[in-house]
Amino acid sequence: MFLDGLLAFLGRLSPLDWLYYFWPFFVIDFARYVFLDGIVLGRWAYHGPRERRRRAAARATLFRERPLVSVVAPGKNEGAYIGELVDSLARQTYRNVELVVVDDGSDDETPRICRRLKREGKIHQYVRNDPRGGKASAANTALLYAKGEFVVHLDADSNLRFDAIERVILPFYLESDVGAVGGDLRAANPEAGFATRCQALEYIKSISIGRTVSSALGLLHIVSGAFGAFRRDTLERLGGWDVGPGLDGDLAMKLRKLGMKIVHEPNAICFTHVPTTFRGIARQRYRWDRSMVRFRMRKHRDVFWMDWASFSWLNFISSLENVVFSFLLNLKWWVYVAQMVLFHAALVPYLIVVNYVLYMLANLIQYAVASLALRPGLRPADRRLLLVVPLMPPYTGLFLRIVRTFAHGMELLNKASYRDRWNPWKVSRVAQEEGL
Amino acid sequence: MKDARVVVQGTAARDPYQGRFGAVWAEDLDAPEAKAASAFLLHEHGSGSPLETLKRIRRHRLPAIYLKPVVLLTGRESDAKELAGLADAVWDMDLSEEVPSAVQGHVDAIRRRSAPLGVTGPEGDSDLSFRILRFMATRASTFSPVATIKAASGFRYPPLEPFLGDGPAESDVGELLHLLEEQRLLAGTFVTRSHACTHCRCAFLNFLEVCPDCGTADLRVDDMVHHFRCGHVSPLRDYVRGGDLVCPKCDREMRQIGVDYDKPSLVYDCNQCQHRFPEPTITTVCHRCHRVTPPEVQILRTMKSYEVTAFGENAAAHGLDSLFVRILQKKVKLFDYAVMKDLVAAEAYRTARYERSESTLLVLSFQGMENVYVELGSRVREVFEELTVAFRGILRESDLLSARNESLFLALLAETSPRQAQRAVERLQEAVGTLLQLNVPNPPRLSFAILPLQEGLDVDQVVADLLAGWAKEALEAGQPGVS
Repeated sequence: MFLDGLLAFLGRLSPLDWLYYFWPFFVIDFARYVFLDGIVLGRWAYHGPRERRRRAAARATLFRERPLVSVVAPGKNEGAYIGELVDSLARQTYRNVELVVVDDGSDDETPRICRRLKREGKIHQYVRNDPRGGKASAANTALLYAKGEFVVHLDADSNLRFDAIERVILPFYLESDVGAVGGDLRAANPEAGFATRCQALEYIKSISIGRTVSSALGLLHIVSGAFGAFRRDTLERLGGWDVGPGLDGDLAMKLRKLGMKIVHEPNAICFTHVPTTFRGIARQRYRWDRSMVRFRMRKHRDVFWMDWASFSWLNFISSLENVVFSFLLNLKWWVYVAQMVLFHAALVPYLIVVNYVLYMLANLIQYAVASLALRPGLRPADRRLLLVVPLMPPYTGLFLRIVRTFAHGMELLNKASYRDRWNPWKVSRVAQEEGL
Repeated sequence: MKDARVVVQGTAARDPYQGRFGAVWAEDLDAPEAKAASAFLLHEHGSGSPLETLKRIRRHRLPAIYLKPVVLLTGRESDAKELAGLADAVWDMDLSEEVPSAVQGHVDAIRRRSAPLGVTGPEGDSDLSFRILRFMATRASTFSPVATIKAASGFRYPPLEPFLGDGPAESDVGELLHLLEEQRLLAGTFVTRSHACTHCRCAFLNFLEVCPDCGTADLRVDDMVHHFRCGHVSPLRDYVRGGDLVCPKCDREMRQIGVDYDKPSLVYDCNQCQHRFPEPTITTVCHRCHRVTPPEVQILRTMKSYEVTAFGENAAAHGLDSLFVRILQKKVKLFDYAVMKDLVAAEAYRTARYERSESTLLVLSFQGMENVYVELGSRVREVFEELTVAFRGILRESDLLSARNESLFLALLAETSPRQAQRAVERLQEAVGTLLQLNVPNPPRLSFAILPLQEGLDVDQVVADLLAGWAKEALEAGQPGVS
């Protein structure tokens, strides 16, 4: 009976009706995340052979010059993962690497583990900050001890693919105005549960593909804190990291303001441990999503002022894209829901089903494109994520959207990020007082 | 204490109390009046050196001498504080012409406890650790370590010091006491811990913070300062502007620690190689041997105060085999010295009668064996085990071995010519020499004599002559005396 009704509803739809009833999908999501991504990736693939030759030349220069790369890993209570990180560094194709670990007031076994690794020569500098100062101070402490020409910032619970360092440094040798390179992030624990599978697929879509496209368009506005490379002199010029949360996006924005390029390197792969529960994901995204409001809409709102001395159209578009897609178009869904409930309440069950199918097909296309584009770097576990595709519409369209809406609201109305325990209270208090 | 004797060195006429007390010569402590004296009196300003005299007393082999109470005679102007710590009691004769009752009581108690302790060997008590055990048993007090800059070990046990030699390592009796504790003859109580050089055991170590890259101690250390507002982190000196603290990143003045900033760690900068690091390498430099060594390699000694246990008191009363002899006995059949003399006489008679073969008597002596205890402490057991292996290497099943004490050994090598014995001894010398050189900073010297067995051989006389000759050689070479 429901199926008959659904088929009858679909049979009645003209092309204009399709657009009317499913405008968020066709006008925005499909256009931006499937159509545009497809075009950009196609162009990227077309230029592949020429790019490979440039990369080979840059690689030869990199290995001839052999600059020291400082891998800095600030973190709290991450000792259990440090061993994996150290092992992955030992397996790198690029060997001139030093590891600086900053233990930001850990209260578990981390100091003991790190001191042992330091004695074994696997960690070059181990710094213990006590009391804890927060992520920015820990990263800045690491920067103070880093000696390398390039600084690679890693989350201490991450580890790298064997060629990740080489690949994340390479873009600096391709273009002289590159200020930062974002590495690609994959879930280190994709098969730990349903929540991690969803995130693993989401990372492939939004980071591996999404950031590659943004990078190709010159609009990339974030270098993930989990894996990003910088020139040390540029970092020092900027005074390192500012107080977070969201300090990775903040730093990328500061680099853009300096006129430097931010690029994403999809083949520099870092495996990071993702939350294993939906509650954990919600907490993490609540923090991430608030930072969009705090940094993009408050701290760096000057990029929207056309009379500002350092105004740049590219920075303007980059920030606008971020605000529009993350913030405004997030609201469009609720407008759409209200529109359908108020004016077409009887059709809501059909609309839900059709929307689900449309978004699932879009996800399927995205996954197919990602599989082709990222083929050499995909693990068997990543291929098995095909089975998770049908579950992505409720995960991204419902779960993450609710969390994002709540986060934006809380930050706009209540400045909730200043009370986040992610930073020590002493730091949050000053940030709030100063309106940072 | 009317029969106490003033011990004098050199000219007796220079001793102010000669008229009041009988005198004995420090050079002649074997004299009957010395043995009979109830105590020895040492005058602070007496003839010769009172310390040297005290050492002569304590290093004597007869318990009647080395266990004798020694009272230091002082006056009002006394500056013999250190010497007073070595003697059993101090009698300030300016304060009291008569013997103070406390001194008298102490002397009587020592005499009472010493009385039953007879001589345990033909030439007195030769084993240093045994002599010290007996001394401690008769004093019945706790012997505590005293921190000092005068001994390389950093600690002294003053009353026991006169028993030891004069070298810097010899003044460390702690190792020997630890060895006695391991044998349950002493009970130790924790006092403190002390680092000592692993190479020369000197306690005077300079702990240095050095650069992990170039090893220099020329470092600059500063507080690491974290500015809360902007997350800036750098050494304190970067923030100092005039008399104020100003953040170099955001130009804000920082007023109050804990409110505006904190100091989460230290930062070190090497003035030589410019290396920056959060934790310096800690190393030690020995003031004596100047070796640079990581602290974790150095010896961490536990300093204890010691008392004699009931087991120790029993051993002090009835004698104690030396550790070396005990270890040797487990691996090699050791004959009693008196029995050995009979066996030597019988073998000499047999070879003379049948004239078919020749046998040899080997006399071996370690000079300065006491140093081994003092210098090695509890490790002495391992060295003695190795020495035992070396002894077994030269002895056949038909050979007989006897120890007069732990320094003097007789070996009867049956059916062995002096020439064959010479080769065996050379092997022993090489093995023992290498072992001792490697393990003991001041190794004892091994002397030996190879005697063809002849009828009428007087073992005691031969041994006495050999010991006298070796002692003379040792004296000329500046070595410790022969046991």
